Formats: sequence, C-alpha cells, structure tokens
Amino acid sequence: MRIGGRGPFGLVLRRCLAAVWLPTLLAALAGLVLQRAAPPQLADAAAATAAVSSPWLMLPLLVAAIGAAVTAVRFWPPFAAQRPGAETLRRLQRGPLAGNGATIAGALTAQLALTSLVLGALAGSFGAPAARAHVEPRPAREGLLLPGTAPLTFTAADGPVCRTLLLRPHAGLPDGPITATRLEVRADGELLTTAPLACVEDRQLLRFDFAPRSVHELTITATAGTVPLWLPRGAVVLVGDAERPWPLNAALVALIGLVPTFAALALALLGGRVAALPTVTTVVVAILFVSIAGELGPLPAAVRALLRGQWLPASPVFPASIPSLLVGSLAMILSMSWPAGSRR
Amino acid sequence: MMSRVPPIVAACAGLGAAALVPPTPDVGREVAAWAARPAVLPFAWGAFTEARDAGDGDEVFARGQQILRLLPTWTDGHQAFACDYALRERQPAADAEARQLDAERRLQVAMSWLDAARATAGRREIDLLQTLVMLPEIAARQTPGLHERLARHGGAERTDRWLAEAERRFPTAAVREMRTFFGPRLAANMLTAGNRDGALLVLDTAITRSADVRDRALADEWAMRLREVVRALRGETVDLTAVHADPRFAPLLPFLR
Repeated sequence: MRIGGRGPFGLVLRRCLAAVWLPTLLAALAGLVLQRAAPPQLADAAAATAAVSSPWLMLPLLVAAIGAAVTAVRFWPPFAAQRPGAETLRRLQRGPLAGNGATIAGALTAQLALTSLVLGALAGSFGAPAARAHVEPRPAREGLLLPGTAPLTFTAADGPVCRTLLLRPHAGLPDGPITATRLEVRADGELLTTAPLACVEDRQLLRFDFAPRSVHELTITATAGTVPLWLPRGAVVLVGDAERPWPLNAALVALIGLVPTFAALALALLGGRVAALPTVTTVVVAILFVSIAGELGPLPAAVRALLRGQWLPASPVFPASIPSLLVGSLAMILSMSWPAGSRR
Repeated sequence: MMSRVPPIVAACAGLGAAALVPPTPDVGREVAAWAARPAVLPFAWGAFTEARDAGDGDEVFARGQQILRLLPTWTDGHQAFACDYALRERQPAADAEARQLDAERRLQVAMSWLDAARATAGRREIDLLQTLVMLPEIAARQTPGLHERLARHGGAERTDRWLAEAERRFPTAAVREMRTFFGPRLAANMLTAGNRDGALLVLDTAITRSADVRDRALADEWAMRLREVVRALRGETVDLTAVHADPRFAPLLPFLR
C-alpha cells in the first residue's frame, strides 16, 4: 500500500470520493427534506423526533457504503475474474492479495470520510441528544417476581453514577384475576422513587428519573398484584448521569458503518476468484442492502443508539459487530490462501 | 422493432385525461404514497416493532405516525395508535398534578391526530368522531383529577362539539347511542396494540354509555355482555356463550379464547 497516492489505496480513495460524494450529498439532502416534511406530532417531540429520524439518516449511509464498495470493485480489475488488465496488475502488485487489500482499505477510508461528514451534519440537525451510558446490571439470580417471593437483586460493577432507571419486565400468566404487579425499587437499600410502579403488560416500559447517585446494587420487590414478572439481563437498565458529546458517538457510528462494507468487499473478493464483475457487483450490493436496510448488520442499531442518546462503547452494538468482522476476516484469509488463477 | 404508436397513444390519452380532470395535490400525494408503500412499509413496520421492544411511548407513536402517513385511510390504525398513546403513561409520577398535566397533553395530541385523520377517513369518519367523543371520558377514568382539569379547559364543550359534528355529518338518531356499541371494536384495537388496561377502560366507558340507549331491555342486555367481557379480560372464569353468539363482539373474540 503506497500512501503517496499512486498505489491502489490512493487511487481507489480518490476515485471513490470523486464518484460517491455527489450521490451521498443528494441522499443526505433527500433525508433532510423527508425528515422535515413529516415531523412527528407528540406531547414532547424533542427526544422522539431524533429517535424516529433513523431511516433518513440511514439513507445517505447506505448510499455511501454501496457507492464506495461498487466503485472500488469496478475500478480495480483484480477484484473479479476475467477482467482486462487484471493479470498485469497481479504481476505488478505481487503479494497474496494483488493490491485488493489496499483497494478495500481505500474504499473504507472514503466511506469513513463521507459518512463522518454526513453523520456530523445530519445527526446534529435531527437533534441527536447528548449520549449517556446505558448500563445493564447483572442479576444475582433469575427468577419470577411476585408478592411473597424473594426480591431480585442486580449488581452494577464500579457503581456508576446514574439518574434514570428503565425496567422492561416480561410478564407471565396471572395467578388469579389480573391485577397489575406493583414494584418497589431500592438502590443500595434506599428507596429510589415513591412514584407508583405497576406492570401488567409483557415488556411494558417503566421509566423513572431520580437524583443522580452511585448505584452498586438494585433490589426490586413485588408488593402487590397477580402478574408474575421475569427480569432477565437487559430488562433492567441504568442510565448514567455523565453526558458524552454526540459528535464522538457519531464518529463511532461511522466506524461501525465500515464493518458491513468490509465484510461485503471481503466476500466479493473471495467470490471474484472465480466470478466475473457483474456477479461480484451484485454480491456486494446484496450483502450491503441486506445488512444495512435489512438490519442484519450492526449499523442500524448503532444509528438508533446515536439518535436515542445511548453511549455506544457501553452498548451491545460493538459486540454485535464481531460476527461480521469474523466473516470478513475469514474471507480475506481464504482469498490469500486461494490465489487468483490457481484454477488454471 | 417495437411500434412507437401504442406509447404515443397512451401518452396522449394520459394528457387528455389530465386536461379533463386536473389532478389535485391530494391525488398526487395519494399516488406517491401508493408507489412508496410496498418499498417502505416493511421497514416502517420493522422499525415500529423495534421501537415497541426498545423505545419509549413517544417513539412508538411517532413510528406509528410514519406508518399511518402511508396508510391514511386505515381508521382502525389511527384509533389504535392514538388511543394507546393517550392512555399509556410516559413516566410514573408521584405528583398528581404532574400526572394530570402529562395525561392532558397526551390526550390533546392524540385527539389532534384523530381530528386530522378525519379528512381521509371517508365513510369510516364516524368511527373517528366516536373515538374523539369517548377518548376524554376514557382518559379521565385512568387519571384521577383529569376530568376536573379538562372541565376547566373546556373539555365538556369539546366533547359536545364532536358529538354535534357526528350528528351533523351522519344525521341519525342513533349516533349518540352508537358510542356504547362502538366500544368492543375500540377495545379490540387497544388489545391489538398490547394495551389491556386501555381496553378495560374503553369497555368500562362503554358500560357507562349503555345508559344512553333508549331501549332499556337492549341496554341492560348489552351492559351485561360487556361486563362478561370485562370479567373475562380480567382473568375470571366466565360463561361467554352469549358473547360468542353476538356478532357485535366479533373483534374481541380472538382475545377471549
């Protein structure tokens, strides 16, 4: 990889930026117009307006990812079989990947540059809130919560300073006529709220704020009602008090957006050992569409976390990227160990 | 080579039709929505489901609004999303004043949404008007003190206005009585939205409204059926033979098995 600009990295980077900036800009403008055209009608619109803007933010990200990946595949001949000039480039570039690794790096860098700008501009105008860490305390034991049963305790490592608690219990079949189960929540022995907390529906959200305090241990007790509640990991979430700047969160989303593109290009590279350009291009577009628009990859969850004000490093989005990264890495390794033209 | 005549004839016919009956902006919007629906609705429903699992009540209603903008004539959807929003507390509050204020704001937003949806409801507009009349009463049952608060802010006049509008638009002596018979369908919409408490409030209101029915024998029998449904939804063992035999309860039957 020659960073000077004459190697595949620099060439692909420049080509991708030149080819994709305009479609990305148009998609961003279209997203902005569509978001402004139909604002939600709510009692407190500020927070939800950002949260429901995810489709309009995804649109330019999808265009940038597909545009950069397709441009790279079409620009660099060794990416697909039977392309004019591919053999010459393979001899010139040497190495197991024949410059394809640098090509992928160039496309990813172009996408990162474009999506960072788009996310910076659009997320701000959509009203992305400052990010707060969402901590999932660990249950000491799992069990059903009913009046008369032992309270459930949850422990949060390091005792983060928090200000909001989100409870989303699973509800079971009632033990007699349905009466909402009332809950009492204590943090390190102190009652967190005097507001009535009652749950009757499955996955019903109970959310309340409290004065910021460090929380090491949460104790949840059922005081009345007939609906048994189950609180597995993830059903209890503590929201941190410290605010993190959303632009940093947006930069992390741009980074996560590279994962599906990397996986798509790596798989296309592997397929390109035997497949021609139209097939390779179709594979890239299909993988990116399914993983971004079809929500199989980590990007949609990351965008929603950004717009809901969840601090990404403390969210499950990063672990969710690992399967895509592994698939991409495996495809790259297979491509290296299966050089192009080995069939002949 | 394909003949160019058919496309030219088709284009001329299209222009002629447009000249004779100029398309309005509403028609343009409807055509755009018709074209966008197949591509957008699956993703919109996916986002709505995700919001119900991981978002809050505001986000759920806002995602619902995105769906309803694509399906403006779906009155059941308008009722279900708007009533669910109005009757689902956003945050438990110890302070009664704060609860009432929040409930009133949610109610106003929901009613404003339902009022706007009337323009595209066609012959189902009466359903939306009945919901507009009933919703403040249902919400007042849920939040103590809301009735008085609404009364201070002209709530009774607003309800009367919607009822008068329903009678004006659908001039029949039964409009006032229809509120109680409208209860099962609205309750079924609430149950579909996953709001059992809201459905029970709707049915309780329908039982109260059965007093409007002039035929007392019919009213008593209807109220009895509604009470049976309420008891069944509360988890009690009830003989529902009469409810199953009554076609007016058909929307509720899937939730009574």
